[in-house]
Amino acid sequence: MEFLSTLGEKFYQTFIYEQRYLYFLEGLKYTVVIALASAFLGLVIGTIIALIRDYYKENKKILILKKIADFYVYIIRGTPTLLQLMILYYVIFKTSTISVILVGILAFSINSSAYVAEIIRAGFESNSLDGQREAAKTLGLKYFTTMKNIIFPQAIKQIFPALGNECITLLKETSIAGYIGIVELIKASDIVSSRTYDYFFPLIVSALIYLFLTFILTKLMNYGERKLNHDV
Amino acid sequence: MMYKIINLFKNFGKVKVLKNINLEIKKGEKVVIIGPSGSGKSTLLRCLNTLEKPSKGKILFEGKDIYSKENQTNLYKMGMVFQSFNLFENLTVLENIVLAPIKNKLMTKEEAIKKAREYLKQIHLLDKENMYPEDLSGGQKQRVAIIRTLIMNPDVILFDEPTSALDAEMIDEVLNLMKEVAEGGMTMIVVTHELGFAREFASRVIFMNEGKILEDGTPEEIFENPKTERLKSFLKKVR
Repeated sequence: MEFLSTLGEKFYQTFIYEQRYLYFLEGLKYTVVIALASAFLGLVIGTIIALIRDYYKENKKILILKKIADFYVYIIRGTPTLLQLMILYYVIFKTSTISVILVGILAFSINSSAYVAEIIRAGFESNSLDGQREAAKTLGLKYFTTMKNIIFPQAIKQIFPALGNECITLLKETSIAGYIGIVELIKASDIVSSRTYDYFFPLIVSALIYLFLTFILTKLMNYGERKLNHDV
Repeated sequence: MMYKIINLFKNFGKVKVLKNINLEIKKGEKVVIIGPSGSGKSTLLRCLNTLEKPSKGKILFEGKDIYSKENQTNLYKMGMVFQSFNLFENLTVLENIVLAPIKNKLMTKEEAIKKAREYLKQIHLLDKENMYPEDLSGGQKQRVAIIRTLIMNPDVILFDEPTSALDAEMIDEVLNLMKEVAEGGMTMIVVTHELGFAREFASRVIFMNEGKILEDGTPEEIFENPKTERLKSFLKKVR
């Protein structure tokens, strides 16, 4: 009985007292906002990078842009995300008044874009598309017409599961945003713990929220995959 | 002269695939290129529409360098039919055929669809126009691929082993369509292992071996009176 009442007291302290559940809601909000915005921007930047590299490969033009893209991917994949986040915040935007949330979104977008670029590249370079590219060329179709009408729709289908994985990775990786002072889910639970001297509820609840978010993401991805395969 | 090939060499790394090819092909000719595997037949064909870049030498198409701007912007003038069909897997049969004429602004969408349906009717695949390539047999895919090339009204069609990936019972439907195309006066250059077809179809047969043209003549000359030992033994083995 005493154990249960202690548990009840801890629950009360963690969530109800001083409306502390609001911390978790705020944290959830920033986690979701940063993850969504970064996933979208990462996809856009990653696609552009993949296109630059593919265009070079097919047309042997824009070598400089291609080298820059290669270097970008090399740097981003070769350093820890946390380091990129901190460099962006403490070095590049040190004197800027830009919102810390935006810095976070930018950092995670850039980070994700490098991985997305590699995923898309694998899709573009899939062997099954080589012959179709050749056929398109002999039919006088231009590079971008071919990409838009033939290569991209098929590539996206092939890489969809990998992109889904990247989204889940990104969602979890936003948990380091607390290092630059963003109160996302982990930081929020940390703040509460420091008030209550209890880690059980804050951490378990954070975990449950992450699991719930990835559960929804997985469901969405499965649905999208079936849709792309004309099964729905 | 449609094609004039001058001192053509092609290496893949250290491997010399084409060794000094000189060849002229006239409008309306039906040229069949035969030879053992690895003799450079397909590579030569792929050089003719710049899918492969020669290591040395020159190819003139309609009097102009094949890499000239004019030829490069009109690559569809040199149509190609592939061994593996290469239909666009994400598009229906009809979309496969009309995409290029519409995007190249050779026809309006309505004209392209009308023309495509005429062709599809001719090859008895009109009822398949809304199907995807994965739902077709190999022979059907290849015939659609031929139509897709024909609708661009090319000056020449290059066939790269068009029946090699087909089951035996589908080979004839493709070869028959090729004969029909030939009757329309199309210039055709065909790489194939179907010697019976070559004999019947070709106005000219070229025998390649180890990157060189060893013999070049009428089907009678090549099949009845082979001059080189290499061709004689090739014909014996294949028969």
